[in-house]
Parts: sequence; C-alpha cells; structure tokens
Amino acid sequence: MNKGIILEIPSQVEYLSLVRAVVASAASLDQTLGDQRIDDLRLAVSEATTNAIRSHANLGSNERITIRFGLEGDRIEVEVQDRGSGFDPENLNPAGPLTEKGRLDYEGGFGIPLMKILADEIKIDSADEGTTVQLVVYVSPANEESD
Amino acid sequence: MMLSLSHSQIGEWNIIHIVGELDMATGPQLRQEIVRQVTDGNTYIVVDLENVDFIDSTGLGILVGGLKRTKSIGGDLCCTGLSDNLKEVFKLTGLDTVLVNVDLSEDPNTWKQTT
Repeated sequence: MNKGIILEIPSQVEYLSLVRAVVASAASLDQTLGDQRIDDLRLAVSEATTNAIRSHANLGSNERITIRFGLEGDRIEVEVQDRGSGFDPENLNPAGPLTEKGRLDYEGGFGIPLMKILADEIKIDSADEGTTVQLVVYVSPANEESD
Repeated sequence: MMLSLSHSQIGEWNIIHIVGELDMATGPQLRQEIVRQVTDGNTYIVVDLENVDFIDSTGLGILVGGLKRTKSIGGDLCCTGLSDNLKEVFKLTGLDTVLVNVDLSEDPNTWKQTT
C-alpha cells in the first residue's frame, strides 16, 4: 500500500468511533469517492472491528487489534486483524429474513451480510491464531455512477 | 462516547429521542432504556433516530429486540427521523419490512402495525 495508515487499538468498544472517524477521513482524501461510498466503507470497517473486539472478548484477550488502511490505485483496501480464536467463514448459517417466523427472537446476524453488501470485495482469512478481514471499495468514477 | 437520551409522549406512545452514534459501545444504553420503558408499562415506543447519523448491526439488533419485546406484550415499536443513510441500512438488512418509520406530525393512531 503506497498511501497507508496503520491503526492499532485496544480491544475495547470505546475505540469503534475512533476507527470510523479515521477510516472516513482517510477515505475522503480520495476526492472521487462519494459520501455514500465513504459511509459504506465506514460501516463495513466498523462491523469488522466490532467482530474483532467481540472475538477478543470471548477469549478474555487484551491483545490489540490492527487496522490497515491503504489507497492503492483505483481501490481502497482496509484490513482488520484480530488475534481471536477464529471461525470458519464458509460455515456461517445466514439468518433468515426478518419477516420469517421466530426471526425477531434473534438480534444478531446482520454484521457479515452487511459487510458483504457494502464492500466491493471481501476476503476473510481465519485460523486458530486469529482472523483478518480484508474489505475493498473501488473508487473509480464509473463504479460510483453505477451505485 | 455516550448516547444522549430524552423522552416525550404523544398519546399512548413514549418517544425515546437519541443523539449520538448507535453501535456496540452505546447500544446497551438504548437496550436498557427500552427494557425500562416496558417494565414501567410503556408498551408503545417510538425510537427517534433523527440525530443518529450512524447505526451498526448491534444497533439494528437492539431495535429488533425492542420490537420483539413490545409486541410480545401487545405493544409495538416504531422508528422516526431516519436519514437517507439510515433508511439505506434498514433497506439492506430488511429492517424496513418489520419496523415502521413514522411521521411524528401524523395521527399516532395510524402508527400501529396490523401484523
């Protein structure tokens, strides 16, 4: 990443707003990226960071979480890396539509689907020693117009 | 960062006005407030999101939980004041199919869902 920022945060929910502010500010350096796409990226990164914090909390881990932000040509890449226990991204059972009977009993199930919708590319590498979520948003004007 | 919460009343509806960002850090405040309202017998709740410019999956989940909680005792939960950005998030997640976005200037008798 030629133009990169690395942010390392304590695994605490109080830092989520800071991550969002940094990501939105850094993304706005590319003046071709519209406000809606910045909002999309901000939410997607926030979701990935929330999952990372939750993963550390489940382990009782005080390890820090790393967020790498890069502007590279026509794309913005953000990686969120935790040192949690990992999960199998292929084995996630998607929650059904909210109109489905009994679905309101379950408050979760929005995070990963949101990331998949909001980012142009998403890659999840997860193993026993941690998870890295890579989110990519294209900044080309052609893509902006198609939204 | 904390949410700022305040209240008003329109007919039988209790309006919870929120200022701030609704995420995993602040969401528990809203959940606690909804539980408190229901415990106090206020089963018709409107969550005013006019001054909320960010909501994440935790915030959405709390609204789902609030809807379930109020409906299970014969009440209801609606939202108001959604920005275009929040409307988009509601649409992407399907929350707009179960949570009514009401206009506070309209007759509150029209806010109740039929389902």
